[in-house]
Amino acid sequence: MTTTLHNLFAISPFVVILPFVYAAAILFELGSGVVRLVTWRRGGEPHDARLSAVANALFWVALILSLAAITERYVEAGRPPFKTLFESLILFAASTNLIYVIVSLRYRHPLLGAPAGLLLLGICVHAARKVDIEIVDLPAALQSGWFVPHVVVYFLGYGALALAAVAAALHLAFPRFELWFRSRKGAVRRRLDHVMHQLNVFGFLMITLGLFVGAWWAKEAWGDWWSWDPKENWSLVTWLVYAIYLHLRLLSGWSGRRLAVVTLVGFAAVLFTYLGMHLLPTADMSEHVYQ
Amino acid sequence: MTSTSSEFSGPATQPSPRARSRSGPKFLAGLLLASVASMPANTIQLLVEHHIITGEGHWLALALLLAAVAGIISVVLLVKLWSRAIGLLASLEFATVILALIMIATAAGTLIRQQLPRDEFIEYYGSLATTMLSLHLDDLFRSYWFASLLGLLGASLLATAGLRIADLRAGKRRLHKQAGFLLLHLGIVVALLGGLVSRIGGDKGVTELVEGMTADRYLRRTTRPGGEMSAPLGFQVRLDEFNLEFYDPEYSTYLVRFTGRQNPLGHNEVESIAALTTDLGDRRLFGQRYEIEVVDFFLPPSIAQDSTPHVLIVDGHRIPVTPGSEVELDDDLTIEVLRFLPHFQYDIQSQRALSRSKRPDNPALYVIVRRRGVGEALYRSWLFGGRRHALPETHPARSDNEWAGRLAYEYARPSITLEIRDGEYQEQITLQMGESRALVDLDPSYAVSFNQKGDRIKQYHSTVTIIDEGREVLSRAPLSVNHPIRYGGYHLYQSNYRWWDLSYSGLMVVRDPGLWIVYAGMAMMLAGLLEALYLRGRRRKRGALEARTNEVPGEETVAP
Repeated sequence: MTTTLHNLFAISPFVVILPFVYAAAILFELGSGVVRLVTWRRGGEPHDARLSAVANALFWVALILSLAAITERYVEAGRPPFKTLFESLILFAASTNLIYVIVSLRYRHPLLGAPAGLLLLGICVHAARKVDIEIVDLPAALQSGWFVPHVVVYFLGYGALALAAVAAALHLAFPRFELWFRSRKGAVRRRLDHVMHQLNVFGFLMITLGLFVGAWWAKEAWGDWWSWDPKENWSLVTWLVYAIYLHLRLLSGWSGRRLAVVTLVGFAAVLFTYLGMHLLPTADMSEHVYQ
Repeated sequence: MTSTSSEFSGPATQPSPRARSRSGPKFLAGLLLASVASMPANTIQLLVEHHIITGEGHWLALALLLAAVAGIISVVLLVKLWSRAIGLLASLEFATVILALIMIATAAGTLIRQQLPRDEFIEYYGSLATTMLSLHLDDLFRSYWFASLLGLLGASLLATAGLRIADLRAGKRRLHKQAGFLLLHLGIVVALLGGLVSRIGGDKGVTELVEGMTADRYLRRTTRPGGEMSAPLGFQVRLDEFNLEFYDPEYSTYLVRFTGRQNPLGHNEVESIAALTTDLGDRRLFGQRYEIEVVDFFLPPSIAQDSTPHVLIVDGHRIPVTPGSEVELDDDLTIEVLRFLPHFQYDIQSQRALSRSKRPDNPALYVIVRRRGVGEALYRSWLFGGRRHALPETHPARSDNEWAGRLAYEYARPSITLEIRDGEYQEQITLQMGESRALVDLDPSYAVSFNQKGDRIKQYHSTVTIIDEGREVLSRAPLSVNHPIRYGGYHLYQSNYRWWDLSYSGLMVVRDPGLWIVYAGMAMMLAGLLEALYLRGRRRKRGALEARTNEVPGEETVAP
């Protein structure tokens, strides 16, 4: 364990520090939850003695650290650091973190913090397990001005969709948690639904934009704006799930739990598109698979 | 995250008990319509493939007759049921069904292997293969039934947009509230149309060139493998030059831990690999807190100063050279350095020298010594720069020609010195590039090797000249990956090379007449999405938003 950490630290110190920051943020979020519950049980207004403010600050620290990790890698590799699975996981953490701090600025949702921190912690631990042996060069096809916008736009989308899935999971996992907050029946969940929907809409816009940038780039690099490559197909599948979500939402009887389930299905498609391509029997046809 | 809920509220979207009761049948009707459309499409494709439709006159006549009858029946039905049919096509339920079907089909197209040769497909899928083939699951994305699903999507989008436009004209809705919706949905139709135009009018193929060669045709790729045919370009393309651009060479020390087992191929199974750079002081821990550190790195001057690992040694003088160049000596002599093979092997069958791999395991250089001005060669031979491969004593290169003794070749290799520490214990080892060593004394499950980093090609550069009607219209134009050339309705792409024959360059030739229609569709979609999902919301009042988020339908009633 110490050997691994030591060697990982030699490769990227930020990647070693990040999980600890997220772990601390989760603890503070949980602590905030407990204190709120206790103060409420004692019959006062629920408050958390600024614990969630500390947690929030930690998310900002983590955002800066993950951006520093990307910058460090950019300098060391001398190219945009989005080539390997490890590099993309750091970007995924940074983009999800960025979306999270914006969401928390806008909506201040007391429940989102801990599970979002858990998601980010998971991403970072996975990144540490997939750390690159050495810096990899960019193949000719990736040396394009479209590389950075394509990847960054997609990962901003993925970050939003991941957090939407967190909100959806919360909705499904704690059907009665609004009781803890003495709020109107269903009010907390409706706020959660609202956050989830906003994130889904933003994510959908981003994956649409990412898809089009990718199509434009593919035309320049490979001669086809669409070639039914497995990764393209799965990004289309993902896009279609969220398109279906947007339509179902307008049908009567489709709200709340059902839409939360569709959101989770959508994020499962995102994850498979991102991480599962090597599992496909058609993977050898693709130019998009992480080694 | 701007604040709005979606505004895609069509006529069928008002959550009324009546709408709720009609959702189920509409889903079913959508499924039914999709299968009614895609099954005949598949049948027609089967008929075309078996040459039943085009093959013989009476079949064609019968097919036309059937089509005409079907057409008349559907026109009659449509006139009678026009508004209901449009209503169904435009419904959210139908949209959902068709999107889901396309989604399922797309996913299936990644789970089933595509475009395999027929016999390979049958072998792979066994008894299921016949059924799958008759449904064109082996080439799903080019099947007629998949196209018919896309067609139905287009029909649905048109119907939706049509109803909206009808509402606009009737004054029931206002344009500025519908612009985003219309742009988005019509954008998809436009993009689909562009795809159709490219599919019908487009072409794709390859043309293979060697330096100095001119081509006026290309090998067109039809949808089925094996169905390739040559087609005229309409102009000529000449390959003037082909060059590989390499990254600066970099080297790494790999610290490999073996599991102690062997894989089925008889290689030692690797448990983990760590890499050290060539930076002094770079260190790693391994095993039971052993430490390995880079203490010295030697980069031969020919690489560091002249960026070439090739050094010719003429009468004891070291001269860095690059393959393809010429060295001038004092006494009117030149040495031509013709070819470099990293892993030399003489192929007896073809009687040719070949490279077994790109790794410099047996570096060899072909040189010719000439007197300047006089064409005759004084000496021509392969020179070997490796450590392990000397020529046998009887080889013709070891002839009595004086040059055999005066000329030598060295393939310069960097070396690295590593210090391995374990408490008091210290050991230094030096490895030349390409060398590996097991750490037997310390822990035999570890080995270190020092190597050049993997495939180092940075870019593939072709220089081409386009000649149209005898005139050079594009002279010595650069063509590389991500930088295609456009001429005469075609895009030319750098797509292929041969590491064993660097005068070769493979170009892809693409004609894509629907391209800008597709781009226009995409732009419409983006503009529409932005408008419908975002910009409109900003114009709405915040109070309206709060009210709307509270009226989420279908949940338990909101407490007063």
